[in-house]
Amino acid sequence: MEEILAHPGEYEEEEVVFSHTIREFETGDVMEVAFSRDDMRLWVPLEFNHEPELEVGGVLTLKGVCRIQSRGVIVVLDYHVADTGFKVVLGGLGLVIMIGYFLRRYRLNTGQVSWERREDA
Amino acid sequence: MPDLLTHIMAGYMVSDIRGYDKALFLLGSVLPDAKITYRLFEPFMSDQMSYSFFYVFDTPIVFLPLALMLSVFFKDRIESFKCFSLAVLLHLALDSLQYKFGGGVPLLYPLSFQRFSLGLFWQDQYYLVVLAFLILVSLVGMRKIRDGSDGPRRGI
Repeated sequence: MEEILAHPGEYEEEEVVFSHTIREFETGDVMEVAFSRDDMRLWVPLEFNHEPELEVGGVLTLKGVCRIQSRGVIVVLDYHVADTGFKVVLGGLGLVIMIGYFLRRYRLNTGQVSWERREDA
Repeated sequence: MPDLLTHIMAGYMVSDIRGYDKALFLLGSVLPDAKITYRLFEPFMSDQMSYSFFYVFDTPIVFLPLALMLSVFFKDRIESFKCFSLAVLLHLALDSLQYKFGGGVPLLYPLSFQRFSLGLFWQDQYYLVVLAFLILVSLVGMRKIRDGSDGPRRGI
């Protein structure tokens, strides 16, 4: 994003896809959405075709066309604000299942510092 | 990325169909998401560093040596390396189906920095988990029925 904002000519009319956590936003014809960058706020001008439902802390994933040089905005074609909380729960569950399954099949041979199949041991 | 549970179920299905060691394949299928451990070091990392960390953990070129290193700790090194590598590729392939965090998967890094994303679904569409779960249950159920019906025939 910094590259696009710093060198808009190079990205003009290119399609961009990115995801970042929303830190702040300001409503208007052009939405100004802030993302974190090295403890700074990177404000990105976005133009939606209708009022978007943004929320601070949500992960905004968007696909848009870069028109920073000509219109000063990224024209958003498609966007989504994700709540990743449930994903973390599913991830934790998956990890527990995977570790349990693995330990049922493999055991650590501490002498040779290697994992071996329980059926081979 | 799809959530870890979806990756695990997809890994289970592929390893079951292809006859790979399931435990190794499942371990390999969660490897790329080990990048989440960066959160432990987040207070000490700049955003750029976190981004670089995420970037490299999305590239096959980083995972092949990592799979090789991990397979050293297993008795059957060739089999484990094969399982880890294929599982990682499966993980990255699944990741590239969605609107990916960061914009896609840099499959060709370091030849190209281009990220690939088919954008078929958003990252919190959990119906995929349900779909994967149903397929998995059907697969395991079918296998159990087949094995159950094979048993008596063998005896005849």
